[in-house]
Amino acid sequence: MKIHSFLYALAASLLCYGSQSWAQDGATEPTPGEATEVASEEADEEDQEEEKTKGKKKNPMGSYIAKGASVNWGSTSTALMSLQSGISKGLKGASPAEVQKFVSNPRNRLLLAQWMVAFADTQLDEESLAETKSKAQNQLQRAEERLQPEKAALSKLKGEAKKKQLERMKYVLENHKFAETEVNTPWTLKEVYATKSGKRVLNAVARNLDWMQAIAFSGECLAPGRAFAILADAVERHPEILKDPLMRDIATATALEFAKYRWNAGKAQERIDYFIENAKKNLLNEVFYTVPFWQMRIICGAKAGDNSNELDSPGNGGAAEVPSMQWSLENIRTTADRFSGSCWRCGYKSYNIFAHSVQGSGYREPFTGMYNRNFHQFTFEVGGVCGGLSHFGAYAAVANGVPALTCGEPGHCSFVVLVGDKWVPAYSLSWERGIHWQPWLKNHRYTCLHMYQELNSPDNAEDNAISDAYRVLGHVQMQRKRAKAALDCYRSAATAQPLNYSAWRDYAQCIATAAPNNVEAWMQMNEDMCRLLVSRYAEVSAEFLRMIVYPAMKEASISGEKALACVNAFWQSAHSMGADKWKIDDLLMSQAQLLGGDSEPNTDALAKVYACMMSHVNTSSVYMSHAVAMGEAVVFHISGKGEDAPKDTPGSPESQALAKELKKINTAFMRTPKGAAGSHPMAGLILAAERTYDTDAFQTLGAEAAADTQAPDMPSHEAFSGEILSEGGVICAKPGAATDNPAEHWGVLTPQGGRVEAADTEETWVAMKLPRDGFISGVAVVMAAGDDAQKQNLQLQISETAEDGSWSNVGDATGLSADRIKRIPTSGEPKAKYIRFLRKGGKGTLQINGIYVYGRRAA
Amino acid sequence: MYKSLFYLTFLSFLTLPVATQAATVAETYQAASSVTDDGYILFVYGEQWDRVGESVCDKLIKSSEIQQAAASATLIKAPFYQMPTDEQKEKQSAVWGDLPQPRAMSAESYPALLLFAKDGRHYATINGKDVLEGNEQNLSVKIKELLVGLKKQNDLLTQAASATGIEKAKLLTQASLIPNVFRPDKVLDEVKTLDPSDQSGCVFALSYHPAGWGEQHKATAYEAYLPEMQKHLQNPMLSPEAKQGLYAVAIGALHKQATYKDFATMRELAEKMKALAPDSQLGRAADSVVLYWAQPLTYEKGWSKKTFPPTKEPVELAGDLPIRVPGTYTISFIQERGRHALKIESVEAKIGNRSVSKDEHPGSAANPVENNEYVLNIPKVSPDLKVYVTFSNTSAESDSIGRVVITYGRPVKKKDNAREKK
Repeated sequence: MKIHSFLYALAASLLCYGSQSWAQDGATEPTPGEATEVASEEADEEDQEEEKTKGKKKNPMGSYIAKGASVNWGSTSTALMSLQSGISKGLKGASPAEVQKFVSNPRNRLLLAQWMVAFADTQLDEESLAETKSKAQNQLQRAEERLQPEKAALSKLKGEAKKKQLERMKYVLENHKFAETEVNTPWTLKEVYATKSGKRVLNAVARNLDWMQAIAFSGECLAPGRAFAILADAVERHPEILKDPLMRDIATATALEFAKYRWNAGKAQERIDYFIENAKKNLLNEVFYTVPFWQMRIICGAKAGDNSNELDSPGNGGAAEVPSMQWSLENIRTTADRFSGSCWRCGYKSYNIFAHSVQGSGYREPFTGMYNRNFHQFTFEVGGVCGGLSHFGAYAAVANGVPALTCGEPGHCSFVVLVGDKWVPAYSLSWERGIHWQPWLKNHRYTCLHMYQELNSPDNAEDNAISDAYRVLGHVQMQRKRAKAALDCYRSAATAQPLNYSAWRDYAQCIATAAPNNVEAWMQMNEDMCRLLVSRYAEVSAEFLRMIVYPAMKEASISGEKALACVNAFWQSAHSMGADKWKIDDLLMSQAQLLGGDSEPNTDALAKVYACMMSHVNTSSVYMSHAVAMGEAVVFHISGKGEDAPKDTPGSPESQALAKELKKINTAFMRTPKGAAGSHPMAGLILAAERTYDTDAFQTLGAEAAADTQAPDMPSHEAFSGEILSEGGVICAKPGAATDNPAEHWGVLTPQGGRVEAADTEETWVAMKLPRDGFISGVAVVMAAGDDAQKQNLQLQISETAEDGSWSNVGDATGLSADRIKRIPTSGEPKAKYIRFLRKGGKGTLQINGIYVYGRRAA
Repeated sequence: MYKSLFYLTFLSFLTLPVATQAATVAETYQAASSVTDDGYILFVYGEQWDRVGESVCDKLIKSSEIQQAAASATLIKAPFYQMPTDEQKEKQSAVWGDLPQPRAMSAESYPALLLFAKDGRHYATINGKDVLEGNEQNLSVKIKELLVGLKKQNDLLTQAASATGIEKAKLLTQASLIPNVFRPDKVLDEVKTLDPSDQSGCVFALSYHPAGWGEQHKATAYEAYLPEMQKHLQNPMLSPEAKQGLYAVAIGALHKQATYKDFATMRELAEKMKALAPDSQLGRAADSVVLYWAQPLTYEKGWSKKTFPPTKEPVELAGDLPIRVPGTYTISFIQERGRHALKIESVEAKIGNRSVSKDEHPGSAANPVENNEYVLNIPKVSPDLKVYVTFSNTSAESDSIGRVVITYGRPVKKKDNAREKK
């Protein structure tokens, strides 16, 4: 339990500032405790009810199922009022202890979830919904146009002719069914409750605590009416959804995700059928049968296109269409860890056999009708580029019940697969990746996925319950127009569980609604986020601040001094990188914009922000290497050479002078020893970059440090076919030797040579990450001059991820070589991102002057 | 007479090739007592991650049909672990022995049948629906075909070992192009050495890859490509499927420049492509090519800028028209985009050269939409029934895109809301 004792102190201080902005709250603003009256009798009754359930046999469908159905879902406003009254009666106050006590009663947790679902139903955006409905109507009209003559013919045909006609109509009927289901599936709880099946399902689900919590709090809860409508239709075909937890989770996760993204409701039903039927047949990967609900949302929420009714067009958007998944289940059944390489079953083909580019319609058109809704088979047989191949890999995993999703990278598409409890990037060319499935909409950052994972760890359940309770209380207060009290609740929600992104969003929304110009309120939020989240998820925080908080601060005309304090707060808390690298420069630019006063950052602001960052991160070797590398880009930007260089003084003498000063600062930081191995002042930074295979940082720092070293004598070597793929990569030796000088590493991948040394152990290796994926034809290694240079045996290994256990042998160099050169040809041009040389034949060091990987680029 | 017939039959049985040694089942690679030229077949199943794989492999390995098809091969049931621990790796290796285990990015789908030659070379894989469903009948056929393929490949390689020059290159190429049997290592390099100027066409046949061929000709104009296509069509080492690829590039090149007059040539090329191997991927694609690329006007795609002929003439409304039974049909033109309105003069149904129905009146699909529905009375449905549309748009007014809707029955009259209210 991480309820912070200073919560009240913070809340109290909050009440004091910006009173003008909160004037709408009125004079009778209650304290958080006042907002909810106590009805002790009912609470006692409920406690008794809970007591009664103790000792009973555990119900597989949920930890708590309330008796009777007391919520009138036919009227959301009535439901909200009655639920609100129930919550008020049970909650004695809004202090952490009281809320904790409140949520310890399952009946109360159920009330909160029910309230949240009812509330979400009222939040539907009518305008965009009308657009969605209109699009669906148009699609239905098209489908009807196609169906009408076929149906008329069917009614007039008999026997074989009728059978043939039915077969011919298969896709027209299917298309029409999807369009019709989409139009006829309700969007609101009221509409669902008005149907017999909807009422039955709503009443059954709403009594079940675990089920309702999954719907209300497991991620986005958008258009719950739609989700319940999908669920109700599914229960008609699969009554076991009400009895079997796995079936329940499949149907609920699918319903929530299809409602969230507004995908075709007919296809939701088809997807539910797919997973339920294949789960029953035991055809899915063992992983699927034990996934927690949040992972089920990822699997069942696999991209379902753009509601397209073009059944015969197997574009990337249709990768998770059911026929495509069924094909994968039959043809790409492999272990969870191997899905990351599964995309390479398909050919990377920019042009098809008709010599038409993948970017145009001519790539797919000649195959129209041959791969109806079967993207996977199409990509396998016709080919694709990064988008097609990554969708192939990700959704082959999903089809087998393994969580995976596609990601966008600069000019590229990759994917990630959950292997065990770790997200493994696949076909990835960059750490800059945005996720195509989002736990929380409008946040595409990769580390968001890690945060979602950690949030859903069973250890966090209690904190999450408290945090979500505060969110509900916040919404209740907002509805009562008590913004101050609402803000307290949202802050408490974020404090109780800083990983609860929804809480931060509610917090910001509250300020934006009630007091958008209250600079202090935004500053408080900035401070809270920096204190609670930045050190754990720097990227998620940075994105939130720069997309929501900073623009709001700017709109509220924050002073330069206060803005700098906010920037400072961030960098003061940025102790670790978080789950992965992130785009520091994006944040830096936003922070400079915040300081700069204009729509674009000026050089002065940029310099201030950069200096502020450097003054804080210079104590962190992990951050420092990235920061220094990025600093070079900043200097480049300030000096007016960058594409997005500031418009105020591009390349002016002042800018040049400032850039020069910053370069000095940067170099000074670079050369500040951090107590790491090696004698060169930049050794620690270089090793830090190597440890994370950070190519940018290694290249920047390595080139700088290499200027202080002397190149070795390099014998020439015979090349392999293709081009050199290794130059511009990053090298890593394990374990590093005491006599190794990291300043010499950079040269190893260049024609002039360098030196890298791995220590004298049983398992000694030198690895490198190629700047981009390649098909390897062979590798030439120039060993350092020494007694055993000619004798050393090397094993060449490759990997997609560089994880332990992911390396596979692809060649050897054994026996005496004529000189220091080891040439290792490969068989079949294997594809690799990482290359490793393992010293064979027992203990010993490995000293290398040059590594030259040959082959052709994979993309 | 019956007696002689009996003896004749008896004798003919005696002369039939005697079934070779039956397949043997071994627990592990090491336990395989003797291995014949039919090599090994591993029945690989997902251990602890696939709930059905092991039972499928059990069923198949015990099947007499499979055992018979496998001739004298050694059958081994082999586990394959997910994220294996060291202990599991050992267990796996204990069964697989010296046979190469699937590499990190290999393309098997489990359960799978992995076929290895006597020397341990992995020469074929069978996986997919048939294995998953344990379809003994289909799998027996595939196993038999692959064993025949392996034998053929080995025979050709043996012959190649004693041949030289171009003759050797041909034998190696033939051995490499046996359907579904993996190519032996480094054949292309050897063939290149044996026939550096590729007189035999072997280097081309071994290097040919459909997509590579497409990419190589992404900027080649149709006319420039034709001589190259004709040359390679003569290559005896190329399979019919590979030759289809040669036509595909020609069709693609023509499509890029396609004008109204090119449609007929494209249809001709597509027909030739289909005739080479009608059931192959490109054989099946030929019909789509005709429908989507080689027709000016189709029911499926509607009309576009390319629809309008240089001189006014009826244009066939091609595609799979939903005119399945006799009756009255309404053909409507719905414009979706474009600066110019589609102008229609007439719509006519013909069987052969005989007109069976015609609706002739000026119609417009936009600005304003006026009389854009045409009624045809179809007395008889025939495979030869064709519908023709005559447009009044000239090539200068061709910026018009839209869809054609065919409805069974007469046009539905638009509701007059005002009248209805009364």
